[in-house]
Amino acid sequence: MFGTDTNELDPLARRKRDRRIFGGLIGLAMLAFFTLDYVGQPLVAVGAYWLFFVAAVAVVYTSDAIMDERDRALERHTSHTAVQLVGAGLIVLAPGLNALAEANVYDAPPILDGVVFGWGIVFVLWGVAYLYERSQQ
Amino acid sequence: MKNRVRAYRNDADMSQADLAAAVDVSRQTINSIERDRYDPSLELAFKLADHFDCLVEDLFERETD
Repeated sequence: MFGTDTNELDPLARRKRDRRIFGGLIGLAMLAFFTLDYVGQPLVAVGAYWLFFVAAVAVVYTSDAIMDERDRALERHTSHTAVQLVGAGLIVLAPGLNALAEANVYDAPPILDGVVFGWGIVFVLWGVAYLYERSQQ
Repeated sequence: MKNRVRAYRNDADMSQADLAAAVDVSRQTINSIERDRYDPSLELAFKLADHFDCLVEDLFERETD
């Protein structure tokens, strides 16, 4: 982690160490959030949570051992599957809920409108990310 | 794609962890390759071939239907 000067450990040991650091930071983020929120310091709780989370993300981005090519391939496939599921849900729900409401058959609860809106935002973000990635190749 | 990574590793008397450390991936990745569940990148395929001092096509073979 963090450059090449700490690479005296073999890759598997580094991977184990960096995963432990990552998990520990996530655990600390949760612990700090709930503890500080419990003692009546909600803003400090959120600040501590963000701090530990940013540190955990930094570990992922700086470690050369925490993820190998199979982990990254798994992450890509998982993201692809999730986007496909959201897309299928959006195709069915977005026009379907609107049609049912206009035909006075079924009025969806507001939370479902929020879900559809959120999924729509996911697709807008996907489109922006796709255009960015395409421009880089 | 089929591969002979397990055979080459056994010939070299190495564990999956040893080979993983040698080519800088996780033991699970080596296990997945040996079970034909993951096709490695070209870079990793060349690393494995370099490690066993053989050609990539000695290690990996395209499956024909």
